[in-house]
Amino acid sequence: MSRAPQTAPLLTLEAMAAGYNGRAILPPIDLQLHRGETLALIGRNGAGKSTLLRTLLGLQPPITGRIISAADLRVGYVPQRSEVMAEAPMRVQDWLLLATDEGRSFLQPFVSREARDRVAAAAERAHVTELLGHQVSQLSEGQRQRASLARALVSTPNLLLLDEPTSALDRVAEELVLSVVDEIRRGGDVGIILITHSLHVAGTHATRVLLVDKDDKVAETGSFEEVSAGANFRRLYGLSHAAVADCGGH
Amino acid sequence: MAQPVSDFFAAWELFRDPALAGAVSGLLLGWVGVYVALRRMVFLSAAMTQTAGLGVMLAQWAAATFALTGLLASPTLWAVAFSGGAAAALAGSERLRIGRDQLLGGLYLMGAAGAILVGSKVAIDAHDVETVLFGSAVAVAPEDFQRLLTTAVLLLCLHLWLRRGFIAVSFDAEGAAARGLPVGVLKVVLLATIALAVSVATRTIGALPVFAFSTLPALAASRLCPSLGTTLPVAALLGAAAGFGGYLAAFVWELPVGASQTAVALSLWACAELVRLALRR
Repeated sequence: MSRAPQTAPLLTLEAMAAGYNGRAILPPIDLQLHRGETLALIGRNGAGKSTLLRTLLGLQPPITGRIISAADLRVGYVPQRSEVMAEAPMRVQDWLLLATDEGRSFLQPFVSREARDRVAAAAERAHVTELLGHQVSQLSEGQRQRASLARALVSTPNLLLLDEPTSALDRVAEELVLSVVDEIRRGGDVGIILITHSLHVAGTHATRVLLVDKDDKVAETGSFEEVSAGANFRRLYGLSHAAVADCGGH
Repeated sequence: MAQPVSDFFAAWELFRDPALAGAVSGLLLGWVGVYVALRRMVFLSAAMTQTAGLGVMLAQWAAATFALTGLLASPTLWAVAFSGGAAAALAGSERLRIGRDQLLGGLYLMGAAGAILVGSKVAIDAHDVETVLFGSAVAVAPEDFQRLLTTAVLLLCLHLWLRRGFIAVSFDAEGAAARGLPVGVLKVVLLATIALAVSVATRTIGALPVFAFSTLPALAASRLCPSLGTTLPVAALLGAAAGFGGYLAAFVWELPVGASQTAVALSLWACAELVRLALRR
């Protein structure tokens, strides 16, 4: 897996501690994320991954330290599950078009040509062009997550935050979605933060991992091999070397 | 014994305002009903129509008891205040720490029982109470029709203009907030317009057909249309058809108007379901 190009970082965390109600739940994190990188955020259930994600999304402030964003930062977010009400008739194309409005642009009477072009480009990038005419409610989970990925790409982001995008998918659908994520990363202009429970996904699709645990006050970053060789990883996951190798560590 | 349809159009001057009031109400409520029905807020509409009905009855009671006149005695204003209050309570249900379903049920029952109780204390006969609750009025006062028409034109223009914002906050509120849309303002405006539409229409044609028009045309249109962009106008047209067709059917078969309009709306929904099933095969 190639290393990220050394350009100005998209995100810099300087001794940033995430938490809520004024109380840090994770130790301070120092981290830089560059374009062309996939950082897998791993940890057990309730380890503080979602709190960290909410902080990175700007939905809650860091308790200590700071987050420095690139001046041109544009964030795309793919939720764990994309809820579209089954009764609402909505084609994938319309679902993507809905994501083109930002700020007050909905006041314009018509969707611009440029917005439609962005939708077409995002659909092509996420390999859902053939699904544009389908009803969202009739997509399989895997197709829906790829469409959700396209939706995040509509705003031409350079930072993608993916919240366990494959947790509801079977292995085949998971690989299809992650191959699209890999393709986006290889494009070199997007940095990706991927929350995952799967060590296999972290081991095979991330350039770096960030292991967190609020109970043991762990926030450790490095390559998958480095982190998985550490005592914290062994204690939290209780895996043998052989099992870690099966995860695809490299 | 059925009346010939030609008799209806022969007496068009007489039936024009109530028949068109049904059509205009259906048009307006069909459109706004898409947000109600497809967001699974059907009982929001039920609660709002019933509280609007209570507002109408209370206006009459207050006018008689306190000799109120002018705006203070306006049934439409009271209906707007009550349904708006219901909408505000629902919007703030989390702050009130009351479950949304429980609040809807409470508001519905308060409106329905309250209108009957207040009606029993007002110097009007039971038929007038039925008119408010079930829309059994054969005639509509010209000023009520004018008010309905003006409200419908203004609200439909506003909905046409803000439709992308309303769709975004109704079906993708989290994403809309992340993209910087003014979600709170749009939600308040949407609820306020639904409350206004429901109130003015309830005052004019009664609670039962208003509830029917704000749910059934949207459900029917959603079965026939591929997108929300087409569902909105088709629901409005189906609502207008139910309003006018229901009034015509009431004339032909001598039926209560509100129930007849509701039955036509139900038939359109059933037809849409059948068409969808046929297309699936």
